[in-house]
Amino acid sequence: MISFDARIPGRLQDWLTFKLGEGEALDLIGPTGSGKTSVLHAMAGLLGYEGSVRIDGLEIVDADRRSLAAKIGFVTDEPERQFVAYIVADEVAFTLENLGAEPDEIRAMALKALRDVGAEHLAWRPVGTLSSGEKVRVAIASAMAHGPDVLLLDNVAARLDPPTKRELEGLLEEVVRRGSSVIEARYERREGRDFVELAPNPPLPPEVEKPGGGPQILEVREIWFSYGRKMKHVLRGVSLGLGGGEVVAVMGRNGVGKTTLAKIMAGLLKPSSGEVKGRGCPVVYVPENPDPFFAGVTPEEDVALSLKISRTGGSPQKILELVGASWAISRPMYSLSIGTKKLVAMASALALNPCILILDEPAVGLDAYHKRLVANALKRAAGRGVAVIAVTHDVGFAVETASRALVLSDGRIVFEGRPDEVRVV
Amino acid sequence: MRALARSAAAIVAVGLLTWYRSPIYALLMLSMVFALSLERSPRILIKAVIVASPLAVGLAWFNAAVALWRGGDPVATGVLVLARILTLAGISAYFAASTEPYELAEGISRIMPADMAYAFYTAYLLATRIVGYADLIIEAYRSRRLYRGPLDVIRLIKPFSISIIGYAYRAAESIGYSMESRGFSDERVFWRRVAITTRDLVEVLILVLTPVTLALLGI
Repeated sequence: MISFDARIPGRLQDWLTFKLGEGEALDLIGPTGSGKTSVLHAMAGLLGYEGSVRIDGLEIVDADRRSLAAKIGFVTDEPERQFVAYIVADEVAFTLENLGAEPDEIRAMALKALRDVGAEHLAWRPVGTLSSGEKVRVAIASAMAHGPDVLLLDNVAARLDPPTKRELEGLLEEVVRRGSSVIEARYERREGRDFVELAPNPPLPPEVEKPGGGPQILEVREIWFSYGRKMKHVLRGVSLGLGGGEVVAVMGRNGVGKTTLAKIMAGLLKPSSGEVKGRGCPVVYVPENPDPFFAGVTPEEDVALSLKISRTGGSPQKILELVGASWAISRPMYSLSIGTKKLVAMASALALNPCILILDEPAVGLDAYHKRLVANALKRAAGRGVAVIAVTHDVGFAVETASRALVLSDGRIVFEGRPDEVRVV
Repeated sequence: MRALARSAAAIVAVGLLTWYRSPIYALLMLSMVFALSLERSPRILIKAVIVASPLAVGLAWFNAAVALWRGGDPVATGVLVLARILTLAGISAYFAASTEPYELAEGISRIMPADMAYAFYTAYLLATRIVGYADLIIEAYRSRRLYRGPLDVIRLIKPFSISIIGYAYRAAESIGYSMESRGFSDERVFWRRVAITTRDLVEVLILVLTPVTLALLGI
């Protein structure tokens, strides 16, 4: 039995109260910054609180690390950052080692946990080589291996493609059936699921209309690509055209080669064969995690740097206004939320005056409000004649933003058409 | 155990190299370390040499100039310094290519408490992650037309450092949170015991015997 009756100074101002029994599941709902992660951290013994948080009668603040770890499994929203090992099997075995189990027992339990999440084949792979979906599976196996009473999940489904998301939901239902409790932090409610709302979602800003496309400015012809001579081809004869002023969604499952194709179009990777024909105008690629993209301490400094490179003049304020992030102009970059960082990265990219803007998973990890802001910013950029490619597995975001969708599967484009007709992701 | 043996051998090799002031000896040591490292991973060796080169060349020139001013042999001094720094880079590359972080923690835990072993382990793990993150920064800066070649690192030293420090701080915090929430303490066990293979033994012997033999031969 879990009981939460507490507030977290500086993180969760309002008193929060909920109870959860064995074999029950609960969603913590709220937008970015509403305190979902802090509640999970408090339950995992990582944050102090005022009030009482108990698991099977054990007060969290009074519990020692080991007995708390035996009861709880915790998966964060960025699994690769919680990994403490280099090899998958070591990662899954870590908690078991801390709890002092016998080596043979650890081996058996770690492999069983991997088998339960369909990842036994990954046991000896370095964690850095896993796809997003595989990382989530391994993180869940690590959290489950010692058979905890409570599983805490921080928005883990956000980075998964729809089929993997469904598999995860099935897996969690099984965990609940076996008698564990599951608490999941999410942005949106789900049908038939108990929930606690930490804060209401803010009203969505009005939607910007989709711009119409212009003449072709980029042609990709018969691209083949592999990451090594002896490795399997990730892309196998991909061809596509791109018009100025259109937003194209490149879709497909995790690990299918969407990012590889995006990097080839941006000139960051060389194809094994085939060619990319453009007009020689700038192509800018913004990665999924915008942090490495920044070279300024504040959004103003970062956008100004891009303006200096492109020698186009203009003010950072105006470009930040275009993407809806002018309010953050002088804030330190590290203090911004992931959604705002994505908007600022887009502003810096637009300041480079590109004719093609490629964004890798622009909607991942964002709540509905920030997704709308990003979608609007993409459409405004396209309205200025920029061809925009959004690599995404979020069908809803593609429908809202793109005029055309391409679906990759097995290294080929298997669908090209309107985003609302996409059925195969 | 494997990691411990490698560390001990590397200490002997570097110790003798520091003590013995012959450029020929230093060059022979450099060849031996490069051969060992190349056999493990040419890619990691090349990266290590690229990173160490500015320091190696700069210090070699500086020391050669000082030797000239003091009336010594500038060429011998320059070669000695260059070879020593590149040997250190080669040994680091060999260690990185042959030793998993888990092996390092497991090895150190045999002579120190587990939390001390994990302090080394976490530093090693962070170093490998920071190198990976630096690659992401370079790729992103290439896309922004900020980075056109290795020399641009000097121009971009401020944003590059801020980004790396920020990442290192967040990564260390995440690893710390993760270890704490998973019950890490001194009283832990290691499920894998890493044994020394014949290949490890041969490499360690080469690493120890080469400098000792060369020193005994008076080279």
